[in-house]
Amino acid sequence: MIPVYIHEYNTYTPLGNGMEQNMQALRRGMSAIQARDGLLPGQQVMAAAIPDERIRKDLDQLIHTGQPDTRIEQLLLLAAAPVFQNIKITGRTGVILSTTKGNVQALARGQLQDAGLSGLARSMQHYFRLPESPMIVCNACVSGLMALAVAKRIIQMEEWDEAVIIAADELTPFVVSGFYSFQALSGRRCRPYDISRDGINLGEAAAAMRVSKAPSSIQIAGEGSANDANHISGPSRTGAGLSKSIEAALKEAGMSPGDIDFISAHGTATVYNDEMEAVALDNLGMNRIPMHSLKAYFGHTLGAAGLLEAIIGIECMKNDEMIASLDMDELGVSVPLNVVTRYQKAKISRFLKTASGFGGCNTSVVFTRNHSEL
Amino acid sequence: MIGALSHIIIEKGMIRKDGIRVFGEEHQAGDFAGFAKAAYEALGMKYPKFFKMDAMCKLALLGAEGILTEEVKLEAGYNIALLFANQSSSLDTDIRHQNSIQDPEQFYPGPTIFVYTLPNIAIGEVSIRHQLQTESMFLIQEVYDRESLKRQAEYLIIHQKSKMALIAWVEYMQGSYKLEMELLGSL
Repeated sequence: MIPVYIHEYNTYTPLGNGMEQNMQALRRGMSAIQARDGLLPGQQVMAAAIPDERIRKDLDQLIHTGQPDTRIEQLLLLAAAPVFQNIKITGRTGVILSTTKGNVQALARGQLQDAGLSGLARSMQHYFRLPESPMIVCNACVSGLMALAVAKRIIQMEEWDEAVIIAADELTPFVVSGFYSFQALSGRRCRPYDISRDGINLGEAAAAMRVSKAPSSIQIAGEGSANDANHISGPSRTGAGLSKSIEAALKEAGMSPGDIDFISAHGTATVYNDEMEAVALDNLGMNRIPMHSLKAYFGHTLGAAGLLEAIIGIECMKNDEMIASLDMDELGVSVPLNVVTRYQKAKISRFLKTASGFGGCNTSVVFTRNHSEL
Repeated sequence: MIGALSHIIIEKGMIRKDGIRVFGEEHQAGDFAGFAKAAYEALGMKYPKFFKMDAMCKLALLGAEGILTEEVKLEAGYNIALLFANQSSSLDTDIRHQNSIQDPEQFYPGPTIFVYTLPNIAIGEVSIRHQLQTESMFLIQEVYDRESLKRQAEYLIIHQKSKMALIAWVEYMQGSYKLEMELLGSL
């Protein structure tokens, strides 16, 4: 199969604009989770948001006329513009948009027409002057990582030579009220894998990445998705879907579980998700591998999460470092896990990113670093 | 060579499998809920969870019921990828959730509606019904790009990630609906 490699990428999050700001904040253990008004009637919610003021300022620096109206378009633009900047779009350049809810905020204003995802894709086509409207992956919380896997497949099918994946979701009353109704929101900063974890924080972010068959130091070595076929909103107790997706990614990469140096897991900090992941990793004999969850920094950023967290992991590979998982004081899952709780320098050559979501979906991607290329 | 092993079309109150009408009468469409219930009974489904689902999931389930027979699943070793697409995502159910939160004085969001505000829940429901722990993805397209889903399915089959693939257009929005579903495999 044609090897596919990682090239430019960028993130726009509550922790900062661009890779440097985000990585600095993560190294220092800074979290964007704060008590916020306006998401639920009459009460505050712990969540991560990007101040409108900052978006306006950053956007003014980026484009002077014809700025987009909606926040989701603004986030996508801010993340993706630096990635599109240096590439020449051709008929062999694919673009994939990953989002779960896009501009769902339009529904609150009664603007049904503006809530459709195709409209958001068309708008991206306009801003980045693309020959075609981007392909749209809308697959719950695995969307961002799945979009990356799909881009890789289409390049291997020789339809594209390169692809840009753009991913974003916005913090909205729509999504917050839904997770509130599930009683899934934590009243404090979320605590992935900790014994006292009691739910998620929501967040918002955008991320963008270019992948290509042109070589670079980081390769997508394997990927796979598998459904739990168990429950539409609850994680499987056996972790079967996640295990299968990891096995598929390893098989394609020609690796065994012990070859992985580091895992960026989904780690939402709900009781059941974290337990499911622990069981799946234990079943594969991967529970001693250093791992983290980034949810206590950014919150759960839904359709952006998989790509955003993969990008952070790739940065860790390049910089020989491991970002700590926040707020894991006492492990609270049924099997031992090696959760990294302190920032540290470490060499990572083989990195696994996993994501799981509503609908029972699980996606895993293995990245390898070629040290000789550097 | 990879091609269609069977296909189902559901529209205007009718279910057609491989071009032959298996349920519904010409010009007697009625509303979707009534049609779905009648089709469920006609197909002898015995799956009470069906009635908890939103319309898009019901549509996907009715189609899958006609194609994913025990024989087919056994032949594929239960390794059948589910690659679905539609135009409206879960917008029909999104509107229902939005109505439950629009007025802060009348704030009643519920998990049974909210969980259906993701289109890939339809994949989850079909996976549960047919016990498929397989590759899947949900794409949003302005019009059905069957060829793009077919090529993704071919990739999965050729690279032995899946044995067969069920590709489908599953569109439901405010009462209008269409399902086009095909089982792809080696001919």
